[in-house]
This record gives sequence, C-alpha cells and structure tokens, in this order.
Amino acid sequence: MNKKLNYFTAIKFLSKYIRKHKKNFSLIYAGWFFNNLLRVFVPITFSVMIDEIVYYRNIPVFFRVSLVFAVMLLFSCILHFFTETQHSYLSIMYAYDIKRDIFDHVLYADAEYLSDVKTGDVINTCNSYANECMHFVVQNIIHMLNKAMLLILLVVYVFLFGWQIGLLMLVVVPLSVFVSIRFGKKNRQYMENQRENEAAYNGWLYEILSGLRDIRMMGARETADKSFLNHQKKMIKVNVTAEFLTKTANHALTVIQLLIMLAIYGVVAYMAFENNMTVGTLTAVLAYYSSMTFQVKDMTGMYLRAQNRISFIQHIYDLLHSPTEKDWEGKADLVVTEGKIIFHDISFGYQNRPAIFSGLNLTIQPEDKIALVGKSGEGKTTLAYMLIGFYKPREGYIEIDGQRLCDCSLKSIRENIGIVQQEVLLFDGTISENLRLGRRDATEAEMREACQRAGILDYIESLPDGLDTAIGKSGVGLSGGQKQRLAIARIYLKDPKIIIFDEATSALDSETERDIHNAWADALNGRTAIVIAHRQSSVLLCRRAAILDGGRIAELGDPEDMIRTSSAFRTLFAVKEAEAYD
Amino acid sequence: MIDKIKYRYRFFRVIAPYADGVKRFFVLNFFLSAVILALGFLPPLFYRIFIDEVILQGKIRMFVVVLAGYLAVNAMTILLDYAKFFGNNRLTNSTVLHMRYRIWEGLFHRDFSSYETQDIGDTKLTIEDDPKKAMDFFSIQTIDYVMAYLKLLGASLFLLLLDWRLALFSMVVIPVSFGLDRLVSRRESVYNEKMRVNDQNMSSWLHASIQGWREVKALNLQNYERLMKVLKGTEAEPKAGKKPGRDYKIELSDVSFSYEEGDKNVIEHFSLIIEKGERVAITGKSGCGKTTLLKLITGMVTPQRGSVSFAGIDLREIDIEAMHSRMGYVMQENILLNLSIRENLLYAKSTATEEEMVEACKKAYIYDFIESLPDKLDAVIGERGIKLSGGQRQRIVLARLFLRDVDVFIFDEATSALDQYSENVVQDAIRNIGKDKTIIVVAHRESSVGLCERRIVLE
Amino acid sequence: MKKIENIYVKYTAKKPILFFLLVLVSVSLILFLTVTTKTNLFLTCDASIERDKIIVDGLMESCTGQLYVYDNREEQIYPVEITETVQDDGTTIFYIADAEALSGLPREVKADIPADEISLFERIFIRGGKSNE
Repeated sequence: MNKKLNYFTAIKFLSKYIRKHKKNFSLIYAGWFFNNLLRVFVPITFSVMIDEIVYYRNIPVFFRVSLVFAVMLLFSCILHFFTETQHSYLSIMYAYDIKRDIFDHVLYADAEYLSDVKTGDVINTCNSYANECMHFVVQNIIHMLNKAMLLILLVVYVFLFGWQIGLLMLVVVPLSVFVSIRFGKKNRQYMENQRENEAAYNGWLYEILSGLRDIRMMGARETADKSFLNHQKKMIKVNVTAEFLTKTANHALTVIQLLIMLAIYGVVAYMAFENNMTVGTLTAVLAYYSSMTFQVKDMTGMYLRAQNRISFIQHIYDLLHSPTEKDWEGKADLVVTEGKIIFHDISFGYQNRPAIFSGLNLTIQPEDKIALVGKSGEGKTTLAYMLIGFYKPREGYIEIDGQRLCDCSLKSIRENIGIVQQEVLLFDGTISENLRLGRRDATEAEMREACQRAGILDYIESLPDGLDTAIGKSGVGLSGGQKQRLAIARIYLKDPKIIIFDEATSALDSETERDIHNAWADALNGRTAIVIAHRQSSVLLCRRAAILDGGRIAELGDPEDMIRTSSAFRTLFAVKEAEAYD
Repeated sequence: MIDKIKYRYRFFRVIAPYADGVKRFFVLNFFLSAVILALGFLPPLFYRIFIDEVILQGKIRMFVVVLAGYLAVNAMTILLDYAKFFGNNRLTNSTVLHMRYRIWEGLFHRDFSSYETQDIGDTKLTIEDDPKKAMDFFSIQTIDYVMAYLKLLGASLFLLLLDWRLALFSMVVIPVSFGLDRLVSRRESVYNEKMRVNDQNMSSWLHASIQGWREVKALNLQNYERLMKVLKGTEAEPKAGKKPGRDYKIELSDVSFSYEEGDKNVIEHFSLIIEKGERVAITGKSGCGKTTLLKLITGMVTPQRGSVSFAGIDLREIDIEAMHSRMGYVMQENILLNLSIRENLLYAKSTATEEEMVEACKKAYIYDFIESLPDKLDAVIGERGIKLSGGQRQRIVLARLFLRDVDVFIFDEATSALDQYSENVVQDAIRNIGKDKTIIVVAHRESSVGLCERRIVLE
Repeated sequence: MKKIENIYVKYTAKKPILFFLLVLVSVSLILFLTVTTKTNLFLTCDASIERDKIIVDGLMESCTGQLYVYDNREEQIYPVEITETVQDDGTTIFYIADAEALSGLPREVKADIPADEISLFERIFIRGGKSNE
C-alpha cells in the first residue's frame, strides 16, 4: 500500500518537480517577497504624506514623500507583471511535467493495473489533479511563507503605532483562525461528498455517452433520464449545502473582524483625544488592520485547501507508484531463432483473486501450430499474454529458445512476438500510417505486399486515395473483417517468429476466413503459432490442441483425433452427431 | 458598447426559456442586490462621522452612533445576503438543470450515424461546463453588470457631493481603464478558446490511448503520439413520427447507399421484403454490405436512393423510438454499462421483476454463470465488460433482448465472438424464439444459416 | 503578434535580467530618496503663551525655524516663527515673531518643538511614520 501523504511529505514529493524549475520558483518568490514588503511600507509612506500636509503644511517634504510613494507604487505595479506571467508560465510547465510523468507511467503500467483502472479516473488525475499540484506549491508553500513574513512585519509595526492596538490586532488572529478551522473541517466533509458524487457522476456519464446508441435501441431512455436527473439533483443539493456552510463561515468571520475593528476605533479615538494619534497614523492602522484580516483569512483558507489538495496529490502519488513494467527486471535481448516455447510449472492468479493456473506445463515445438481451447474464463488469453510479459507467473517460468522470459527485456520480447487481436486498435490517420504501427520504417512496396497477403490490397486499391485514405473517426469506416486484415498486414510487416492469434478470424465470414487461412499457411510457414480458438474450424487448422481446464492443460493432442476420442473436446465444441460443419 | 448590450440581450433571450418558473427570483435578486449596494454606501458615511466628529471634534457621543451604524449595516447585509443566496440558487440551479436536460435530450435525437463519430470529451464538456459557464456569464453579466454601473454612478455622485474637484480628478481614470479592458478582453477570448480546445483534445486522446492499451503495448507504441480530431455531431430536430402498426413487414425498395458522397455504392438497386415471422439469414463475403444492410433496416443510416420501410411506413417518417422498441439488435460489439448485471438488465426493461430477469437469463443460458458469482445479479461488470469473456457478454446482451420481448430479432455476426459452446447455446436460444417473431441473422456460419428458412446471399 | 508575445514571456518569465534590473533600480531609487530627505522629529510639550512668548517647562536646545502651537491638534495647528530662544530658571522661553496669530488660543496649550532631524528612511522604516519623540 502506498504511504499516506501529509503536508510535509507532499512537499517532499513535489520537490522533485520544483527542483527542475528552481530558477523560476525563486524568481516568483522574490517577486512576492518584494510585493509584501511594499504592502507594509506603502501605507506608512502614505501616512507620512498625510501628516506632513495636514498638520505641518510642509510642502517640500510632502512632495519628496509623494515621490517616494509614487516610486513604490510603480514598482509594485510592474512587479505584478513579472509575478503574474511567471506564475502562468510555471503553472503550465510544471503541471506539464507532472502530466507527462503520469501519462508515461500509465503507458508503462502493469497490465493488471490497466485492466483494473477506470479511464475516467486517469484522465481526471492527469488533467485537473496535476493542476492542483501547481496550486499547492504556489499557494501553500510560496504564499504561505510570504504571508507569514508579512504578518510578522505587520504586527511589529502596529505595535510601533500603539501597544493597545497591537494587542487588539493580535486578538483577531487566533479568533479568526479558530472560526475558520472549525468551519473548514465541516466543510471538508461536504467537499468529500461533493467529490465522490462528481466522480460517480462523471463515470456514469462516460458510460452512458459511450453506450448511447445501445441505450436508444433498447428504449432505455427513460431509465437513463431518471438516473441523469437523480445525479444532477444530488449534486445540486451537496453543492448548495457546501456553499451555505462557506457563506456562514465567511459571515461569522466578518462579524468578528468588524467587532474588533470597532474596538480599534475606540482605542484610536481615545488616543486621539490624548493627542497621541495622528490622522496619518490612523489611516495606516486601518490599512494594516484590513491587510491583516485579509492575510489571516487567506492563510487559513490556504491551509484548508491544502488538505484537499493533498488528497489530489495523493492520487497522483499513488498513480506514479503503481506497479509498472519498469519493474520488469529482464534486460537481455531475446533472440528467437527457432521458436520453441516452454511453459514450466506455471501458477498465476490476478491480484487478490484465486489462482487461474497451478502447475501448468506446456511445450510448444518450433514452428508448431497449437490451439488453446477451453471454456470462457479458463485463462487461454491470460496464458498467451504471459508470453509477452503482460502478466508475471507467481511460480514457474517461461522459456523461449532456452532463454528465460524474465531475463529478457520487454521490448525485445514484444519485437519478436506478434499478436492479432479481436479488437483492432486504429488511430485516426491514413491506412499507411496505421500500417506503420507494425513497423515504422516500412516502405510502400512492403506495405503493399503485406496487404496483399492479408487479402486487403484489392479493397485498398479500390479506394480513391489508396493507401493514403483516411480511416478512423473522420474517415472511411472499415468492416470487422477489413480491420482484421489490416491487423494481419501489420503483423506481416513486423515479421515475428512467434504469433499469437487471439480469436483472430472469428469476425470473418466463412469465405474470407478460408482466404485468410490460406494466407496463414504462407505466413505461418516457419513460425510458431498459438491460436486462442473458439471456432472448431480454427482448431482444426492447428496441428495440436491443448484443452485448459481447472488451471492445467487437461488434454493435448491432434484435434482430429480429439473429436473422436475426447469427450471434453466434444462438449466444448458441442459436436452434434447429426450436424455437418465446414 | 451598444453591441455589447445587444449581445447580452440576445444571450438573455436564449437562456430565458430555461428559467421558467424561477424568473421571479431573478427580479428578487436584482432588487436585493440594489438594496445591498445602497447599504454598501453607508459605512463610508459612518467613517466620515467617526473622523470628523469623533476624532477631529472630540464628540464622544457620536461614537455610539458610529458603532450602531456599522453593526446595523452589517446585520442587514448578512440577512439580505442569505436571502439572495437562496434566491440565486433556485434561479441558477433550476436554469442550469433545464439547460443540461435539454442538451441531454438532444443527444437522444441525434442522427444515429453521429454516434460512431462522437467525441465523448466534447459532449461531456458541453453537458457539464457550458451551461454552468453560461449561467455564470448570465448572472455576472446581467445583475452584477448592472450593479457595477449603479455602484459607479452612486460612488461618483457621492464623490461629487463631497468635493467636486477631487471627484473630477479621480474620474479621469475610468475611461482609461475601460479602454484597456476592451483591448485585453478581446485577445483573451481567443486564448480561452484555444485552451478549451486543447483540453478537449487531451481528454479524448487520453481516453482512446488508455482504452487501447493492449495493442499499444504489444506494438511497442509508447512513443507514438496523435491527437484525435473533434467532430461535432449534428442535432436533429425531433420530428413526430408515425407509429408503426402490428404488421411489421420490412421492405427495402430499390435502395442505393454509400457512406460518403461520391464513394462507390456499398449497396445498389437493392430490393428486399421480409415478412412478419420469417427467419432470414444474410450471408456474403466480408465487406460486401451485410452490416450496412442492417443499418439501413434499423434506420441508423438513410439510403441515398430508394426507401426502407417498416410496417409499411417509410423510415424517414416513422417514429423511430417506437420502431426500435420492437426491435432487438445484437451486434458484435454491444456495450454493457459499467454497472451491475441487474442494472444493465433494468436498462432494457425498467419494470422487470426478479422472476422476469431470472427467466431471461435462463433463456440466454447465462443464469448458471451469474449464480456462480458471489454477488450474483448485483455483480458489477468491469469497464466495458472487459472482465467477462466475449461469450459471457453476448449472453447478457441476449438476456436483455429476451427481457424486452421484441418482435424482430436481429443478430449481426453476433455469435461470431462466442466460443463454440456459447454459440450453440445461443442457437438453441434462438430456436426458442416464438414462431411469430421475425429473425434476421447476418451469418457466416453454416450452422447459423441452418436455423433459418430463407437465405439471402449478398455480393 | 506571436512574436511580441514570445518576447514578452521570454523577458518576464524565462530570463531574469529585466526583473533584476527592476528590483535594483526601484530599491536604489527608494533608498536614495528616503535617505536624502530630511524631516523633523517633534517633541510635544505643555506650554503657556504670554503675549509674544511661549514658555515651556524643561530645558530645550536652542532652535530656529518653526514652532507649532495648538489646543486641539486635530482642529487647528498654528505655526509660528522663532526669533530667539532663552533659557531661564528651568524653563525655556521662545520668542515668536507674530504674536497676533495666537490670539484665539487659551493660555495653556501644547507645542510641538522641532527636536531633531531624521531622514525619511528612519521615519518610515524604523519609526513607522511617527514624528513624535
């Protein structure tokens, strides 16, 4: 389990990213530092201006002081340009670094983690949470430091004005803080609720939007409607309550601060009566008071938001520490010359779930064509994908051509093993761009040949733009069969020694299937093939079939024999005596 | 300046219908804001009394007046603020909800073809952010806008009364800041839109990358980067369609269709009649239009020439929802929602009883599997049903179909993703469908064809 | 347009040179101005008026320039020129130029006597703006 972050460990975690932008962060700190200094001294300068002119009518001095005042103001204004730009600049660069890391991490993440994760979650984490990190650093670190300094200075100078006022100001601080924190804690609960609701709603919305067509066709509109309204109403309720709380807290604070201010008025009046207070100093006092109450409000607000932000940062932290394939230790280059695969005593189960395999043994000879069969959920896909390192066996090992899989690098493993899947990944782009996903440097001639062998070249050439036709969301829609052929073409480009066919041809009609099977015969020449088969026809293509049952290879043999001899096989394919098949 | 007002007015007109029933809160809000604004002018007056009379003239008794004044103003402001809060909430939440609901509704009236090209990230933003931002814009732009002007007016008035020279001098600033603001905000809006588009793109692209992780990994694609294009679906006006009668005959009449203008026709001069109760198998090579045919029959696409009709009514005029309620369509890639099995079933029929659900599951031969799960019907199926095998998913989809009691069953290469075991089971289930129901199977298994009386071969 | 934006961001966020210049110039300017400006530090004493004399308890340094006399400082301050300072028997007597100006005042008043000259710098940063001893 990942450790829980608190204020300090969160800072430590983020400091890695801060260090990258040390210079800019220092600059922004310096900018705010001077800004705060000015906030302390500008009111005093102003008070001197007033006093000189109101009491002593000292015009020359008044002008000199005004000049100083003007320079300070100008300085402050121009400073703002720098700090604001720096802030925006940093926000993006800094958040970008984090987002980049998150995305990279997700890509390299463990297959197990990925099958579990919710897409909506990751997107949220990447986008909004990363921004929160930036806010955290700027507000909770930089601003906090600066404001603390400011407060100290303010208090010191106020005491110079008059100790009674100083004391009153000091009272305001703990009172305000107390109120803010009490309300803040309550508020946080509501914010948690809010966030949970929102996350649930977002997830639900993604689902519905993805399945809109189905929902319409099912006539499930009303149900979806009701759900939609329910979600909205719930969110409204929580939002309103949270806002009400915040509002009340703010009002309570205002009342407290008003009372103290009136008390200060009283003291000031008394001091003026005793001739101990000038109008100039009075304005400075009031300016300081308002500054102080503002800082206190700000700081407590930041402190409270920090708690929330830490939970966002925790999310990111967890994500960045989730198991990745970078934990895969193998580094050697896998060299496949013959294509002999050995599964030795394999045991495996998904996290926290009972084992799917235990003590499974299977040897696949070079250039063998073997079908993995079994009921749904028996682990055919899992076993095959272990071969490319998606899953690590709990016990036992896998060997390819005498090399242990765990000793080899994932990259080299995946370069040597090709997969054709049921759901083909296509990006928006041209056909050739999609083909190049198989091999970056494929030439046009090579692509044509691959397409020919996959049986899709004719179709491509019938298109006006040929290989440059756009497919995907904004382009031509391909049928299931055509997509499969494209995927197969990719594999031809990749030219691996070992191929895994995952229900590959199940989306094709019988005629095309025959064509593809013929293309296979060519392509499989000299390769080892593992077919995750559900079709009896696919199984018959292979020289051997392995039945997975109860976590082991239950039976192994020539499929043609097994139709006759194996009852398990017959059940699987429900071979009925009287029916004729292809 | 006039332009801005016109623009705001137009915007107001667009939003106003959604605020039915809560418009009075808008007026109330306005009134309360004005009062609060007026109250806001009082503290400076009390401050002046404080300085002039208490400090400068030493009239101690006036201090009490000052105290009372500040406290009273504060108390009133707080009360009014709460009132405003409640009113404003009613107004905003109600209007935003109505807007969101309207957008939501619109999603269901879109052209079917738009679902294939929709961008979830964008749609989500449209439902979520846009109404909220619009409402914020609305409340800020109207009430706050007017209040700001009023405040400006009031403050200027007071200033003038106090000292006309100082007042004039300070008012010089105003036109200058107006001008600067105009300059800035125009440029700002350009950047804001750029940011929004970027965010959208990022979301969608992330979505796809994460969903396609398997192949991304297998092809060592980690460094391959692309952005997805954002396409907006069109929103069709919901037309009141004619309701189909009991005689659900499906007829295609000289239909020609291609996906893109100018592309070769996928289907040409095609005619077909399927009577009620027929069992038809449609076969043909991959890519020759079988799926397209089904899309035409179910109204998901419209032919360029010729007509498709259901129960004698052209699909262009029919009440599509009514037609769909009679059809059950099992596709290769049905979507199961990331909810419990029970909820998925309930989406098919919200009033389904426990018995009905069990019955449907039994008919789809998935009941035993469900019983074997620890949570049974309440088991949640993983993202996009991934944790179920293809066969199990299909069977649940089939169960949904049975729950709905449709008149026309359409199977599009449906059984191809099943293991043989499940496929035969499905075929048995099909045999169980009543003789008066129409069944259309796009098949490429001889076994599936065997279930049907009639076979249509496409080439 | 893009070029201007790039330059702007470059010099405000990426390269610190302009920032350093700004800080350097501003701080030096402020320091210079405040250090070179002189303001008076006053001593507030009880005083009594006798025609053209202001009598203050205690021994004061002799000073020239202006003296400020008032009953209620917030209401009205009367500046007067000092012509002569005389120390006499534990009190200090200031002779003033224009005795008529003080005719509206009662006998017992307060006087702000310029005691010291300090730089503006000291006044703002060390004394918090106060001009009284």
